[in-house]
Amino acid sequence: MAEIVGGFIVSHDPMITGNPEIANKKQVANVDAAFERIVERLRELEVDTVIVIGDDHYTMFGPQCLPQYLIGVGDLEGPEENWLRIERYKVENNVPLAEHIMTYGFTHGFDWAVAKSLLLDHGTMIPIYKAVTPIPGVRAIPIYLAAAVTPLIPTRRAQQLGEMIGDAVAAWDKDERVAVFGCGGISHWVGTAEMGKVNEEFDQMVLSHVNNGDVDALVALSDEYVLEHGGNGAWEIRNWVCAMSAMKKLTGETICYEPMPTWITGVGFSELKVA
Amino acid sequence: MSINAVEKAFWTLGKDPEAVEQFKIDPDGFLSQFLLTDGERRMITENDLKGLADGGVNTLLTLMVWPILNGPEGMPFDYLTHMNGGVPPAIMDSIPQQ
Repeated sequence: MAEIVGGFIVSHDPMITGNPEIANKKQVANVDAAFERIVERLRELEVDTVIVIGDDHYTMFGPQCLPQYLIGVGDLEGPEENWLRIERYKVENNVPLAEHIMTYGFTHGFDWAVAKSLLLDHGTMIPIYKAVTPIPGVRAIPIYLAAAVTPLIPTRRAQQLGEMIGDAVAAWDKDERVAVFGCGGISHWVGTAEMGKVNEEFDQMVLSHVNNGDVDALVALSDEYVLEHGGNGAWEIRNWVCAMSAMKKLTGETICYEPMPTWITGVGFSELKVA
Repeated sequence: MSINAVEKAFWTLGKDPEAVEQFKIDPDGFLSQFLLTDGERRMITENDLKGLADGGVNTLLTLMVWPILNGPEGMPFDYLTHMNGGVPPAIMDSIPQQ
């Protein structure tokens, strides 16, 4: 039987590969060490497949079609952006499991947008490149939530979607050890006048909710509150909510937190442990 | 403001290098394919991205098109100064100039 054996909160800051040299070297080293820790834990957990929950940044989807939530069930490659210093490559999908999660959603009240062919942006590709690709044989299933481009998926709906994903994995009758990534965050103001600001107090509050496994506390943060205190980039917390909800009962443990104005972000990583 | 038309124009510029070339050669001609008001067209050609963002245009897109309209050399400092009404924000002190 398939099971979710662990999860991770993973920054997808594009500067991680796109422009590391403008940041403090010690902080960059700590971020690299966080990715190495995640790789190490995925190996220890003997993970076969990672469900990577991220968001588009008006890079993949345009004004003509903006999915609330989308699953990639077919061919994957990335990254979309040519300035990430990552040569575009094919990403291995777990197609049977992705199709199962898609179908399970259709029959349980979740009308996925579906991509049979997907060119991934940094929202999932940075975590995949840094933490999944280094482990041969581990596959990735990308899920994109509307977390940066309005209309946003309601955080409560992201929670429900995550719960359904967890149920779908549990209902999969093949042996599969699955991890979930909640990507993005924490405080950052993207493209606004405040860009470069980091709110450490807000970031630590969010991480404390993660460590307590308190999804409801994250859901209770209104979009207006998050915008004021964490910026438009912190709306990506709904990716975390979705990942945490897939795990049902959990506790968290911060792997790394670095406030990095030069990377315009509070960069955070946590391990999500099944409770 | 017809945010949708501005966002479509900006997204097109961000996705299609040929569109950027068309825009550089004939800005008004390129923009005529979008359902923009005269005021919006003027704000785009006059580089008033702050005004467009204040009107509700997604700042992922204003950030995306600034280097297209102005060249990449001034990123992010010129963009941040523009978005702060011409005043360099204090936060830039922590960002090493390249």
